[in-house]
Amino acid sequence: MNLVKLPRYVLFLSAFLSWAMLAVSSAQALEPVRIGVLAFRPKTQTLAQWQPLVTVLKLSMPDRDFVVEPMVLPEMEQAIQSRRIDFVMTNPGHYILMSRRYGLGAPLATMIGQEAGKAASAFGGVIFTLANRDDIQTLEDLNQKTIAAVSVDSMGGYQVQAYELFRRDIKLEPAQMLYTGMPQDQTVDRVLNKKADAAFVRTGVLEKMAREGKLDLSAIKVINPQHLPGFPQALSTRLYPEWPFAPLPNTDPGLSRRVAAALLLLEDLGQVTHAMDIRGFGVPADYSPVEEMLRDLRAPPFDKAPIFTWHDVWARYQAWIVLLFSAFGLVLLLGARLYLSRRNLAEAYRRVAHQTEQLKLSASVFEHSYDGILITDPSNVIVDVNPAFVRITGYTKAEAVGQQPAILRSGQNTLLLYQEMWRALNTQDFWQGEIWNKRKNGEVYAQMLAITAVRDAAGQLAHYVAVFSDISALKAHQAELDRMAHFDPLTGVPNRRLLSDRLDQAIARSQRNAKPMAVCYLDLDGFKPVNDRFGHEAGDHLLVEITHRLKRVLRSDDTLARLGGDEFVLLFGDLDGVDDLSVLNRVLDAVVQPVDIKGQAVSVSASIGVALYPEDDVDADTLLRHADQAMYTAKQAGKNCYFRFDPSRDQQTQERFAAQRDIIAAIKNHEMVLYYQPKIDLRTGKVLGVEALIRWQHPERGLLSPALFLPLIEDSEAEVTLGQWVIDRALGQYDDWRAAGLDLQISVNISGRHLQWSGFVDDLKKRLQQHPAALPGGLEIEVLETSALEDFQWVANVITDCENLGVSFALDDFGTGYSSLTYLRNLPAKTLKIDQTFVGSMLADQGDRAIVEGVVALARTFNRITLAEGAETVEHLRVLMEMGCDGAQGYAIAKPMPADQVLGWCQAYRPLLACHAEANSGDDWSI
Amino acid sequence: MPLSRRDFLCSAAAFSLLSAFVGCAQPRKLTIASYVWPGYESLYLARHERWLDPNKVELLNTHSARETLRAIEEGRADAGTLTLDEMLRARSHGVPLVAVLVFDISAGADAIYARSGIRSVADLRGRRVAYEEGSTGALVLARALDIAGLEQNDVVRVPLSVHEHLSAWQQENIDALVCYEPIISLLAAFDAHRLFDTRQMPDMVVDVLAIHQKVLDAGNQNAALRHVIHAHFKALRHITTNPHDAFARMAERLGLSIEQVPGAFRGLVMPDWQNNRDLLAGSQGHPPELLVGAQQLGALMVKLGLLNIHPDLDGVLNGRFLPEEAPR
Repeated sequence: MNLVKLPRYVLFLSAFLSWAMLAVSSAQALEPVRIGVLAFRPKTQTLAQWQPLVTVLKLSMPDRDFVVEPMVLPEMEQAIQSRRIDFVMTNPGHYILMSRRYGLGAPLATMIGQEAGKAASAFGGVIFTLANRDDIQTLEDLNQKTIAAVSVDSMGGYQVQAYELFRRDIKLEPAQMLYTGMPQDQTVDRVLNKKADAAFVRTGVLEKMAREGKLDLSAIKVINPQHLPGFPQALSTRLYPEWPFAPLPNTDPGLSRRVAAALLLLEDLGQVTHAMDIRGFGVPADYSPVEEMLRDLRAPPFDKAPIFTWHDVWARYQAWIVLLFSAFGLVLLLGARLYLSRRNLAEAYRRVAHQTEQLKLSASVFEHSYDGILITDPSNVIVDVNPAFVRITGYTKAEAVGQQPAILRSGQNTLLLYQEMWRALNTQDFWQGEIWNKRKNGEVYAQMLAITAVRDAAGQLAHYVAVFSDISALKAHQAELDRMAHFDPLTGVPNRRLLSDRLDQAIARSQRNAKPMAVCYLDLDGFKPVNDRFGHEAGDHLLVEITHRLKRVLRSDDTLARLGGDEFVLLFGDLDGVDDLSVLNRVLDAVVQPVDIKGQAVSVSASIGVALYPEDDVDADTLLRHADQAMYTAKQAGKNCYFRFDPSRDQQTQERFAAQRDIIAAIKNHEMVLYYQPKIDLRTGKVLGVEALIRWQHPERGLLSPALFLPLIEDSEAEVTLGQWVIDRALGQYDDWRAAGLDLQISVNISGRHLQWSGFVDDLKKRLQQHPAALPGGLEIEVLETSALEDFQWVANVITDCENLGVSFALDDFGTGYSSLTYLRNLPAKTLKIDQTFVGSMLADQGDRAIVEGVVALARTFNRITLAEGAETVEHLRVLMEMGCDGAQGYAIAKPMPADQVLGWCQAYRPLLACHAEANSGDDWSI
Repeated sequence: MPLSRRDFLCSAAAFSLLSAFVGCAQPRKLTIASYVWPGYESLYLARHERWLDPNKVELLNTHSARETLRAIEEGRADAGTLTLDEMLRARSHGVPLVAVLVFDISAGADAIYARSGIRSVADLRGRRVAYEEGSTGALVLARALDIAGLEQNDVVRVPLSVHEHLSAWQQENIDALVCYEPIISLLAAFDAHRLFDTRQMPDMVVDVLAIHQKVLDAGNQNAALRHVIHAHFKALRHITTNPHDAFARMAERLGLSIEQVPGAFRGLVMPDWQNNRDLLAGSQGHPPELLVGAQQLGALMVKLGLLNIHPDLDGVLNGRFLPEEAPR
């Protein structure tokens, strides 16, 4: 090899390589299209039959080469699995199986076969046996017989026949089957060789074998032959569409399209089709009957138990499922209903039990109610009554039921009441009130009645229920209460409240008949001592007795009322004139008659104030007050008399009340002041003490003496108030002087009313506790002889109590009253103050001088101290001293002076009588 | 109504104890009279496939609608396969028939064929037209003339029973023929062309299973009725899913070759069970669809002089024997 040739060789080589590479790539593009054809006859025959197809396809697609490969079932399966072929032509059953297992394209075309010059686009199966097998005539006769078939995968050679038997409910046992494998000629041989009693083959096989001289058709007979005019072959089964021609999934769609076009364009009865022993290819058939058959046979690919999804189950058993669930639902529903109805029953039972209880309770209430119960129907006929009804009315149930409640009417109720009752029942279904009814025995009684109209659920009137109680006792009690409210419990005569009514009535009557009417305020004189001496029981007895007497005096139309204590009011109407008061004298007489109390004849009198209407044309209250005022006047006038209120004098009375108010105000305003008048001891000439005398430092009228205002408050509450103020002030003054080194007894004047006030001693005690230094002996109380005698025993007790406290008493103005020796003996007053009227004139009047001497002597006898008032001159002092009088007071000594002058007066005081001056010279004034 | 043969036999049997026990004591089969029409073939397919129990249902072959009606009137049959117009006419004559199943709706399977030279219905004026009197053929002819603007008397009517149609055509004594499958498929071999068919009168020719009201009233055939309807739907499913097998089996009775059978079905709409329900039972809130069709048909028949008065449609449809789920 030279160098010159080398490049040329290299060039050639590279050219060759290039061509070779091209050739390789060209060979790849031109790889033959492989068509797998199921060989159910010997392969050589199959190949020979279908070889013309290669030519047809090559003609329409010159760029491609085609190869037909006959395959038995396992080979074809393997080829499909490995995608070694591009198209497949197999029996429909196998097609479906392969399609399911490995995937195949939809059929491009369905083969149209031919037999005896006729088209056969469908095929089926043949079941045959030897013609001389008389024992096998029908499908049923195949039972237990040995049957030859190619394999269970063969559609025409097994499945269609099996399906036909299946549809006739003839079961093929695996043991009776003799499988030969392809080709189907073998199964024919088995029958001919008597290895099998019968055999399955595809339609057309027998005819082909006969044509090929391999079979004498007269030697066999077809079982279950189907006589279909125009179907050219022996047939034992249903027909199914002929074989499909299908691509594999990976086959080029363009190639598939061109192959399909070529197949469908094959000329019927042309050279090629004739060579292939077919009529050509038609549009793809519906292979679902095949699939259905395989499914029913449970042949592959439907041999496995189907995987059911709920959807499948639903699709297949929809009706049953619906039915089942409906039934289940129904059971549940019924169960629920049962449960509910049981629960409702239990509830109803409980309710009934409860209602029974309620009914029992209601019945029990009905039976045992203390109130009468009456039930009527809407027409007001009694339908039931309870025992209390029987008890109250006296009617038995039998007597009452069927009657109307009118049997109980007393006739004492107004028509208006019944009208009101029915109106309330009709509009409000309820009425309540008091009504007078009649018992069976005719007794009329009061009852509290409540009637209810009972309506049913529809609102219709069902019953009237009346509940009532006998309130006769209540009424009686009420009357008693009423009496108690209007009558005095002790005497049984009207009290203040009823008096008020009677007074109103009397005034009205007076207005009507134009006759005067008298209101008489009666107060017993000396009643309190009776009470004190004989006890309250005796006092009550006295009051009752007096009441009886007064009643006897009164006319029937007159009124006697007791206001309390010993105060009565009498009303006299229809007077003939304002001076027709003679009845009052009879009243006074009746009162004054002695009453026997504990064996003693006790006598009291009456003071009566009279107010006359219409002379005193005022209202009832005022009329009574005027009578009261007149009564006081009567008392002041000496008691045991009556005083007629004079409307014209009422002015003074009004002023009196105003004065009392003013005085009370003056006390509060510190307008009251005490002046002090010294008293001296006539035996020693020393100062005994001072008498506190009240003055009113009036802001307008100047200093007023007690004579100007004390009468205005005489016998009034203001007296007490003023007396208390005086005591307080005096004690306060005592303390002040004491603090200043002056121990000076102060005497104060206390009114009879104040002294007789029941709280006097306790009140005094309380006031004295504020001034302990004043005890004993710092305070002296002066009372008028007359006031002491008014309620003698009481005053005596008060004086004793006060003496025990360390407060001494003096009887003021002694000699002006009764000055009874009995009283003097029993009154524990330490001092007797001789009235200044006797003292002042004793120097000129022997009579008065005798009185003074008598009093002094008497006092001495009774171991009392005497003090003379009104000692105007030293002469008076000397005379009195000579008489043996213990002390004196008067202008001779000093006039009353303000408190702030007392201390100075005391310091300046020198005894007035010579005898005293010597004895007391050098003595300290302060004792 | 004359005593039918069957009734006579039963009456006679009443005198024979043996017969009384063996014969009349047995429940009577539901007898359905039917003539050859592709839409009715489902019954025969079902019988062949053993979906129709011969112990329950008997198919009585007739040659025409008139014969079928006569069988029902005479009591030889309980029911018949008829068109709705035939049924309405029977009802107007006092035969209370009730439609319980729709086999098919003709959409081209009833037609008027004419010899060459007659180009349109209008050309039929004065021509001899053969039709089956008292049957759908009369309706089709009347409607065709109506549409073409011809009076009913503008043609020469030649009443012929359906089985005489082909021979009459061959004898050339008629110019046109109102006929239906399978005659139509057979006419293809002759010089005949289609002038008019039921596609031009949609939903007017409806083939139904018509049962006598008294059978419904008796109630003893309800199970058999459900059975036959169920079998029909099984067969219908077979026809639609495996026409190869179904058509092959019908060919003999239809008198056609296997290849001709699909053509005979071409002019039929065969409603499945659900459509049947819509037609006869109606769905919720909707009346049966066929009721509307029947009203229109009745009105048309009155207009065309085929009925004297508007038919009473009360109870004409009864969908309660139809399956309520897909038949298996």
